[in-house]
Amino acid sequence: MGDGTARPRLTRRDFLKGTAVLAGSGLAADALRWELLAAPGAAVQPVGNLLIVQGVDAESLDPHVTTSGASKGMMWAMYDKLLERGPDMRIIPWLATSYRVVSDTTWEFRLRDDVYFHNGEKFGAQHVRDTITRFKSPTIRNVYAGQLRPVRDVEIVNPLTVRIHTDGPFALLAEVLSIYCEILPRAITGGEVDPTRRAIGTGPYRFVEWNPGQRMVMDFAERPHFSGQPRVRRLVWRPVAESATRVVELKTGAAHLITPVDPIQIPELEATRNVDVITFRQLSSQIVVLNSLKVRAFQDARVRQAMNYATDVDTLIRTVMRGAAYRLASAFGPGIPGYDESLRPYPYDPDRARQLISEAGFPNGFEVTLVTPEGRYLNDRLASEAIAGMWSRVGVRTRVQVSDWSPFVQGVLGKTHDAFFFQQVGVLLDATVAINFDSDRKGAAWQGYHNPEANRLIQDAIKTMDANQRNEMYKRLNQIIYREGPWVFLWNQQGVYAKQKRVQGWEAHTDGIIRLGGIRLS
Amino acid sequence: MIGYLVQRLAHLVWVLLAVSILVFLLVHLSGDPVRLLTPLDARPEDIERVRRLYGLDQPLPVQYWRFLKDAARGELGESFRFSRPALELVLDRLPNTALLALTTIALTVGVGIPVGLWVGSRAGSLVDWAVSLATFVCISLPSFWLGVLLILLFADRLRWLPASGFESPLYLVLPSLTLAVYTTGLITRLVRADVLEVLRQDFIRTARAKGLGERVVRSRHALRNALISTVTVLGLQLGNLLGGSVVVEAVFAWPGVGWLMLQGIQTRDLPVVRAVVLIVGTLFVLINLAVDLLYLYLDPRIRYDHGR
Repeated sequence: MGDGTARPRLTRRDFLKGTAVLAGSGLAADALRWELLAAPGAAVQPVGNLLIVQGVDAESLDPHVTTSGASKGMMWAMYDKLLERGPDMRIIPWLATSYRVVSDTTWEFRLRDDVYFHNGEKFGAQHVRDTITRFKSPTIRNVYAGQLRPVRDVEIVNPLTVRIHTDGPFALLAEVLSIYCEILPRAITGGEVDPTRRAIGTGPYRFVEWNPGQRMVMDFAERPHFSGQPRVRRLVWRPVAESATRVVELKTGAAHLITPVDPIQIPELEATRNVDVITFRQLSSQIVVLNSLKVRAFQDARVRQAMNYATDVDTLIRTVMRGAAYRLASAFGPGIPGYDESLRPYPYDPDRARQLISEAGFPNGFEVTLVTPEGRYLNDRLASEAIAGMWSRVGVRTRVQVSDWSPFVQGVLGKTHDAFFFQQVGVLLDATVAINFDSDRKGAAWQGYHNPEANRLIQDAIKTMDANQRNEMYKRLNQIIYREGPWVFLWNQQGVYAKQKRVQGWEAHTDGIIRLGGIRLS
Repeated sequence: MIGYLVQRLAHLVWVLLAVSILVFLLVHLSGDPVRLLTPLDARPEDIERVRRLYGLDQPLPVQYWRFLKDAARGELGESFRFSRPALELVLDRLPNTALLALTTIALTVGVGIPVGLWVGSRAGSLVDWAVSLATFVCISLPSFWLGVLLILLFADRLRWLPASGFESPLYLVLPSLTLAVYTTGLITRLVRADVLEVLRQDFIRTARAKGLGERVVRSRHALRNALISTVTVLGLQLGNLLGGSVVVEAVFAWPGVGWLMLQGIQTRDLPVVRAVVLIVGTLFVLINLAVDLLYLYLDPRIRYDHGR
């Protein structure tokens, strides 16, 4: 770039429009048009320093070790995966231009031919193979290595085509590869470069320095990225733990983009001239989990339904959450496979709740301790206290116990809480349902719920290669969960970003992870 | 004297051993670190693998023995969260914390001692009353609230100072001010009370009777004697500040050891917690030693080598 030659320029958006057409199974191919932007004259030079302030810093510079959304955003500015997700979480082509299912146990990925790592290595099939081998390697502290456990072998068909062979049908391969497994250069997989000290990817920005707890700096990569040339010269990521401080940083221009934003501060920011507030519906579900191993009454579906009837979620959203939440009808909200828009939220009906509890054999109600963390989720304690009041009104005498995060987690894992305020459901639905609802597997967050049909659906879905068919199975599962109420369904929280008006060309993703795309400073 | 020093330094080793055992036990009693490090949806085999990689599958005494062996070689393990040597993480941040602590102490000494001295010799006056009220307010203000207030005023409203981070000396102003408000209030009250006490002593009357000027009486005779308890408290405060002020570091995103420690505790990042505790513990003991030596200078009656 900057060589003065007249050459058509691709923006990221145009790239997405074009490549989506290549779609194999499941790739987005809607009303997207191929449209080249011919920019006559010299290429656009990236300009300015973009300052992004998040609540926490990256945990590591090794992309296979990082887990938090805040770190993933930083990693994905420097590293690419085979597949990506659009703002609506749909899978889009990335380092792989297309994929197809060859057989139940074989997937074929075609790779881009125009990609180079920041150290000059040309990206190809060997890198995919080496990276997946490293991702699964037991010597890396990768807590998500199991996500690719079914992968048996990566076969190099030619330098730009790989076939991934799995042990048995593994329907989620594309989903997993759109979230995990950032592709690494040989310098890292070969052990020459320590990825905890230096990042070398194919992403639009290249690593400059990281001072943990202080700042991570990246400059635009000289070679234009396939998703569009970066429009910003330098990125500076800083962690600032205190919400009020983040807001001041944004207002004073010491930050251009901040997250998370406390909903209390939204009015103040909206009144600030040069600032935009961006809200979106998050994917994760805020719920109360009912432990039927601990509380006998919860073994009866009628009682669990009653708990849903007894919880006035609309009022909670209006008062406790100040409107910054979206009502959930069942376990999963929009954007998650299996979301069923025909399901209506349980109405607030304390009489019906009392009646159901009585029918279930508890005419005098029962006692429950509702455990909640404090400060982990937005208004967790406040909401729990309100919920306890609502439950007590229908005869479920509820005591709130506020717990530190560590004992809280131990209680969830040990299945010793009667009921707890919790957040669940991520982009990879199979992981969520498996740890929560499968009574054969009795996963980490499972609390005694048992339904053989649900078990079968969970176990079969992961082997069902057809995306539509799998979606139907998750829908069916969602209906069962809705009817049987192992959780009290509350809301999807509102995600909030705030940015300076001069930051443009950027879109929030519903998983709350920052993808820079065509971000620029005007 | 040298014997005393050797004895105190040997004492340091025992203190650190005791502290390290305590940290080890407390952190382990408070829950399985691996389950806090790994997401809920991690698979059991990954969790066990990570446990082995961190050496947490071994019995506690074995873990502690390994830790001691490494520590003897100057290695404090690798942070679970940051995949970097814990010692390096702490030493990276320690200068920032030390800078903040020393600036705070300098502000405290620069303001607290003169003001304390001044009002101490004017006990009962209007000025004394006003300063007492002010110091009372200073030590009652929660630093979290004060920090946010200062940010809103100086960074947001007036735009004179940056809100957070550490890029230049300007960034030092608000956090050190936030911390110094409390310590200055404390020291002012202490100096005032001690000066008041000392000024009633016989030797002050003697000094005055010898015809010394009031200035000399106060600054040489009264102050020096009043400083014993002040130095003790300053030493303790410096130790506390070197341990990092978690709240102020969080509010101002100050890259210090306090916040590192808190995050370490929350995520059960054992090597980081141990490294912070050992290093801050060492500093704390050394500062106390320095304070004890300073007594010798302030009060020649104090000796540590009796019987020798």
